[in-house]
Amino acid sequence: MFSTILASAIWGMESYLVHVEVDISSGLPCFVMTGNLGGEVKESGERVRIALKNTGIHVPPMHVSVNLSPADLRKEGTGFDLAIAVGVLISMEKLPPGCAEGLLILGELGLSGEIKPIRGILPMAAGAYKRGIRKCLVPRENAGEAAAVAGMNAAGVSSLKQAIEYLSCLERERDSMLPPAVFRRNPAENAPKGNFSEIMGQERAKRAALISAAGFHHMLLVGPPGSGKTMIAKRIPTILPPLTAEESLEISSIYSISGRLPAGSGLLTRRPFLSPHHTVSPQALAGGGRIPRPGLISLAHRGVLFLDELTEFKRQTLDLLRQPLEERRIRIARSGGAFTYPADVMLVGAMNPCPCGYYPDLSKCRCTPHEIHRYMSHVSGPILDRVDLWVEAPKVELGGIQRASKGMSSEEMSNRVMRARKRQKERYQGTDYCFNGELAPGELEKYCHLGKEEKSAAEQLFQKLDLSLRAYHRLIRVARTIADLEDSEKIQKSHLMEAACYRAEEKNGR
Amino acid sequence: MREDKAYAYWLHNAPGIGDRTVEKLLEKFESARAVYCAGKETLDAVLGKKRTERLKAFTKEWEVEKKYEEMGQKGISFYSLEEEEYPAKLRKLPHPPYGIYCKGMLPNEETPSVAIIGARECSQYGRYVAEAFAEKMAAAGVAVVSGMARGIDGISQRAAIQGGGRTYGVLGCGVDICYPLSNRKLYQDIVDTGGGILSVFPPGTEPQKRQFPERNRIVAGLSDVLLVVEARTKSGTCITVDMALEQGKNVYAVPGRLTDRLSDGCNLLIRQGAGIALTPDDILEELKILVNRQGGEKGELPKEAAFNKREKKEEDTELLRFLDCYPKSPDVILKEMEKSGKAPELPALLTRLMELCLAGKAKQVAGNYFVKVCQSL
Repeated sequence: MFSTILASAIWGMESYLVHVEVDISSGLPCFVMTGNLGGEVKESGERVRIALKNTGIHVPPMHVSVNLSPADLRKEGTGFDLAIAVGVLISMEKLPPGCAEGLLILGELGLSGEIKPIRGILPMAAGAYKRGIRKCLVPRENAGEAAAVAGMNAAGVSSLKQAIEYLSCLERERDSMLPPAVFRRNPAENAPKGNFSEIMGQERAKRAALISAAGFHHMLLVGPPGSGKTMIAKRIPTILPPLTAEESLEISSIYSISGRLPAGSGLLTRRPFLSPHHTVSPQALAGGGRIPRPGLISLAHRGVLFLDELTEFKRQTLDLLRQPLEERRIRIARSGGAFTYPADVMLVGAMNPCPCGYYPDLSKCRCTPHEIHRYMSHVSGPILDRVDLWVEAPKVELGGIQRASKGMSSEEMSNRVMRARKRQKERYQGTDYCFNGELAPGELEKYCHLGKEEKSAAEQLFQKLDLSLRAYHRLIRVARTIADLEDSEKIQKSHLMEAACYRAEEKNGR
Repeated sequence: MREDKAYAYWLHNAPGIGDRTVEKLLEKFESARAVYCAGKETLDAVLGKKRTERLKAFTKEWEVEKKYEEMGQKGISFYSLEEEEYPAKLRKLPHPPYGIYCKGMLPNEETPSVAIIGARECSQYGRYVAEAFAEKMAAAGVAVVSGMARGIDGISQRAAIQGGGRTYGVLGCGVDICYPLSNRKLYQDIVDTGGGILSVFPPGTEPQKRQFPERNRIVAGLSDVLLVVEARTKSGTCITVDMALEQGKNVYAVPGRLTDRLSDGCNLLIRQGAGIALTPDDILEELKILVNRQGGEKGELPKEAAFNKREKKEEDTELLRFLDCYPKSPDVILKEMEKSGKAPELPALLTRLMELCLAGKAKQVAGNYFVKVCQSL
């Protein structure tokens, strides 16, 4: 007898529906699987057969054929086990035909018949929902994740036996037998630690962090060791604007595909903050593998990618970031296929100004200009060129600590960020833009209009400071965010002036 | 005469024969040419066997005329102790160098000269002072001698050119090698503006550590007065000072603040009795006395009373008081303003700082630090 079950597979960031077709007919007893399958999918037959046996169901010695359709797309992963088992059971008439109609079935089987969690449930459930599927049967550990897709009725099962019981029930009784999982926001989920009020002095770096968070600008902190660069960067998550529902789904999908979604929570509600060690390999950062998986830059999508000790990173690794920083996505091509993963990150770098770290304090620093130049050139120009805010975190004087004037706290800063965020939301309604930092040069004139006086001031800055055109655009973007922070719709001269203070050094020749 | 020069050039290039040996040889043979023609035995008496053999081997390969011409084609001239053109100031030194190479012109004997020297890694303060002094010196017709190194040396020479004066760079390598390479432009400009690149090392000699003390000796020797702008204790600059003192030159130092490691050398010199250079006039005054002592006309040096009296504009904002000639971060400026009781908000401060930069009264350096552009010393 023939049966067909709905399952799903991931291709890059996209998911598509897979029909698991099972047929049992007389002939030589064997278990044949077709449909362009990866290694782990081919092994599925063995797992299913033994799991059924250990659940007390004997597969008759007949010719079992399984086809995963569409047959031309490569299938990977272990998520098809449960669907194949259910298909076999229906074909064996152990389950009523039609019991799995309109039901997405996903899960990996163990030999004992237990059902194990799989990767990528969230994008698969979301993709299925888009195609009109409203119910799904998933491993219990993944149920919360599937339920995060609003309107999806997700049943979580922990063993094949339980799944059989569930499917044997009449449709209307199922919910009472196994109540659909409820999506619960995990309030304690990676609540960012720390508060900006803990940082002594460094008002300017804090101000830069505020601007950077409000407009999603890339930022570079430069300062002597121990001045609090890392502390500042680590506190940026406390002031980032919360995720919108779509953003949350987008990020969670990436994490789901990578199998990194924390257990028990459906969606990520906080912007990611990743700080890879400087020994990170290029593949880990950009993503890689025969079938490319998202790298750290994609995992930090819509969040912060913090690179501490920027000069210690391999040049090759850093240069990988050039394109993604510009295009805000990364395209990885490998033998297993070419995928595009989102990579809209806010880059925060931290580094020392020279090998000893004390430049320009010449009483302490004895590095030669050549040494400083060589040190700075560890970070390639094009990367530095993409930094919107270049800010020094100078040495904190003891007097400053003792006075301990509490500066802005995270709460206060967060409120200001939210206000600026709201202004940007209104301005960019109906466009792809979310933040000022994303504005393309061509759109600057439209969204960052300068008055006559401001325009002449900007031109003066351009000429006197000998800016490049790219630097000029950066200046306008940052000025736009400063204006938003000051609740001003018009970019004023003072905003331009302040933005100019944060400009990156054009040449490293000091 | 020209031939004699070629032989002197040969002698100067001979391996294993330094200035002291040349002195000895000349005592015996009187001219370089005579040394060239001298027989093995006579040379043996002065040089010893080994060195004589080396010299003879070298002589075989060295085509005197051709080599000399080659040097001339490169625009390099050579002066030996035997010639009249040889700088008189150097001749006065104990153990004067036997030869000196020059690209451009030799310093004019009559022109008073001052050596402005200092640290390679100088601060903004040192930069301003060096520029101000060198420019004034140049304007007063005083030649500026220095080592063309990075930092104070190069800065003062560049400023001297800007001030319309002549400047002479003494190198620790051959005059055909520009060291450091970052001073390429200066190297060319010195020659183009009528100054000269000098060295006691034959063309093609690579810069080497051990050659620099000799370079410093020549810098001190060519100058009438030595001015130290910024120096750490135990630095190359201090070596030059020691040599100048040995030669009986007057040394002036620019005082710095006590907390500045870069001014330690200068302050120490002052304690040891060096002249204190507060304005360029101090140096000019000193030079005038020297010129007078040598029987020159009185008041030969034009008086520059109006130095640094650029009218101080009243509208200089309050903020400038908080800036300094060493880089200060806005955080520090804010803290200091807080202390004095009137602190603006940080954004307002940044705006004002930027306005000062645009007005040319301040400068943003090393990323986001600010310094005052010194308009008066």
